[in-house]
Amino acid sequence: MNRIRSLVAVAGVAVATSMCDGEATPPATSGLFLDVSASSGIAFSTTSGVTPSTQLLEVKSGGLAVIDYDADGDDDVFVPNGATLASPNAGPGCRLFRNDGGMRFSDVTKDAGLSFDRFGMGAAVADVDGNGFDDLYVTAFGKDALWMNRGGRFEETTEAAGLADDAWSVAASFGDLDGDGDLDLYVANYVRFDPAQPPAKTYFLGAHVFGGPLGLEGVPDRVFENRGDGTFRDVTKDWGFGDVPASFGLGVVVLDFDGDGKQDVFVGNDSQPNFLFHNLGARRFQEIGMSAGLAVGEEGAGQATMGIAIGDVRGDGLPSIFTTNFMNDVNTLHVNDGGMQFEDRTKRYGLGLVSRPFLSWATAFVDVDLDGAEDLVVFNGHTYPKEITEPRGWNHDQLPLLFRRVGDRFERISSEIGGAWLDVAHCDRGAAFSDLDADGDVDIVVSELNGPIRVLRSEARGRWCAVELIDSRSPMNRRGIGSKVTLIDGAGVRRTRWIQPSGSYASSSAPRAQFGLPASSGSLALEVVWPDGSKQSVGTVQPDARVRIERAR
Amino acid sequence: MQRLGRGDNEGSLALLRAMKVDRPDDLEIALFEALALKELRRYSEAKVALERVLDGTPEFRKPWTSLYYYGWVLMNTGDADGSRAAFTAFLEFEPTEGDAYFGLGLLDLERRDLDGAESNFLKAIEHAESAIRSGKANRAADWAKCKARLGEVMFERERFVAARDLLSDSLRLAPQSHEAWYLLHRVYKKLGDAEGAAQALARHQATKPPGVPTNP
Repeated sequence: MNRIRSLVAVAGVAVATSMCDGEATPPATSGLFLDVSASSGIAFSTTSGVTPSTQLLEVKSGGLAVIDYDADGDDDVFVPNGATLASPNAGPGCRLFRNDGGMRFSDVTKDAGLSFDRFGMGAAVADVDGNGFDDLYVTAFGKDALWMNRGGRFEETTEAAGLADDAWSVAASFGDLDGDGDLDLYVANYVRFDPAQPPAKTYFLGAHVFGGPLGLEGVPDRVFENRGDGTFRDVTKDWGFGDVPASFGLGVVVLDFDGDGKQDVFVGNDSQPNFLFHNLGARRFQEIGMSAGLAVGEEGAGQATMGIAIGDVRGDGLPSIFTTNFMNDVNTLHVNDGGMQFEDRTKRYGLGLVSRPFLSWATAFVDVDLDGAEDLVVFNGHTYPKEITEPRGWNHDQLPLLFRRVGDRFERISSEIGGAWLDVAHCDRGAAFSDLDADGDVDIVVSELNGPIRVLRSEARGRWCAVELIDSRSPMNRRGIGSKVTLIDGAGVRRTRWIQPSGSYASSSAPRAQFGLPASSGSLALEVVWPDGSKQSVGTVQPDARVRIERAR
Repeated sequence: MQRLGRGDNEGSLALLRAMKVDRPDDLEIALFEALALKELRRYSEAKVALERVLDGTPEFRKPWTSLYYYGWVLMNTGDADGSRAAFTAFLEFEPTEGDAYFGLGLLDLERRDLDGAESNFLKAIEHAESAIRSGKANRAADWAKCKARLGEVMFERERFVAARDLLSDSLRLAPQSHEAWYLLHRVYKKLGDAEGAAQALARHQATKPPGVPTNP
């Protein structure tokens, strides 16, 4: 039997070696990403209750956002931060780190007038009043917060803006839901929870663990119409978003999923079927998750959706949806077949079995090696404390996953190619993706539960093109959130990205379309589909540059 | 063993762990402990227990059965190649054990080897039918799940009529398969049969899902 066990072990080793022998070529000795946290100036650890965690409330925090708060063209980093059960409304407070260039950041929280110290969960970013400066919506246990950016200084206007959602919310997404040119807001709410009376402990796979969310009451999500004057109106019921059971929302993305020129909404629910709200026009939405094939995974059951990534996995210009889930389950790729029909193609793309031991959160499709194909990043970490997970071999701290797109499959790549960061386990939650040093590749800021913020600098080398939009026709959606950007190379190959910062767990990424380019790309042209469905073609664009496309009048 | 057979996995595990105190080196206890842990979906712990058996010199009958369970446990801990090696090694000892072919078929589906998956599911069906004919074992449930997975292969091949027929066969025998009803719903949608899709979805929603891995 010993001999047989050796054979099995050898098979495992052979896999790891062959992964390293793939087509990918490490760009430098450091791999595709290098952890530059120590030199970044972001010396900050998040707070979310205590370690070890004792309640559900303590394990869901950890989103973050990139935001160009001073409109200087580079992305700064906002950390909402959590609090403790003892003082849920008086935590150590949020942080804003200004990008000083060269992957160096400095804490400007006070100078920027930010003082959010409630139990923050995540953040969404958009210029909701069209003044040219990005604003912040902070989700929280308890009252959320809208911080309006008055030219680099923030002012909280939550109550006056009509956005006093006091439920436990985790994710939020801005989008022009009613097609009037400004950005409305979808807030995904989680469960009704009282830390003073937490649910009774329960059993999970034999372990005695804190209770929830099953057995708790879901809280209805809320949808707010932007009135265009800095205030919002709750339209949850009026627009049809209330026609669903209150569920455990943890993720949300506003996007036009069927290309009809109207923005739809995908909501990821924890332990329950996901929602897809189809925009019928005239401010009416219909939930069609099950008939669209998006509500459940291929096993036919609701999953514990945490993070959401949007990508054109089939190269046909349709946004497919990747969701991250709980351990002993798979992360799920629903490929968009058009006409609001999706198919679970997780296995077909090689993303199934590999994810089973992981409990996954933040995620994004990113072309990490600048070869033109979008790869996939997933950050992981358990919900239960080490005292429970480690004896059972579940791993509290978990490795990140980096999948390289090879043909029509995603293949997990090793640290030899990806970098040493892939060999260091953390209990990760949120991550925001942005080209922080403006060198053409996408860097990552990662948030760990009760741990330090990490900055991963992309070391990729290759050709690239980054596209930013300026919607001068709709100044209330200046950055064109909800737009679709397609880059067409000289060989006619089309690569599509969407301008939608939300999705990655409780986090907000840069509103920028980032493309890697194969060496043979030739001349480049762009096609933009703005949020209302109108199209604009742009002739020749230069590679290796950040291109700003202004909407044609 | 009787408790395990009755599905009392928690009870078995408690008993086995109590027995282990007095007989810490007993590899048969380790195997049964692994079996209970596997059934409880505590795969990482089951893996450790099975590796004790595989690394030792078990003296119980048919010690290679531990390879079979090891194959399932590795599959559920995300190690596709280890799982394949374990099933393959097991089949050298027990070439008529259809469920190991079923496991290999699942692994083939994961790596999009549809020919391999079809071949392995067909072998699994053949062995299940043989066992049923000989009256040696009740392999009806195995037969149903293999038919359903073969239906999945046909779905992937976009042979939707064949997929529908295989799933329908499977569901006649195992009408409580939540997963198979959902796949049949997807197949009917591909066939443009709205009524069939709706009926399959209704049956899917009327059946209880198996233990869904979620926050509890």
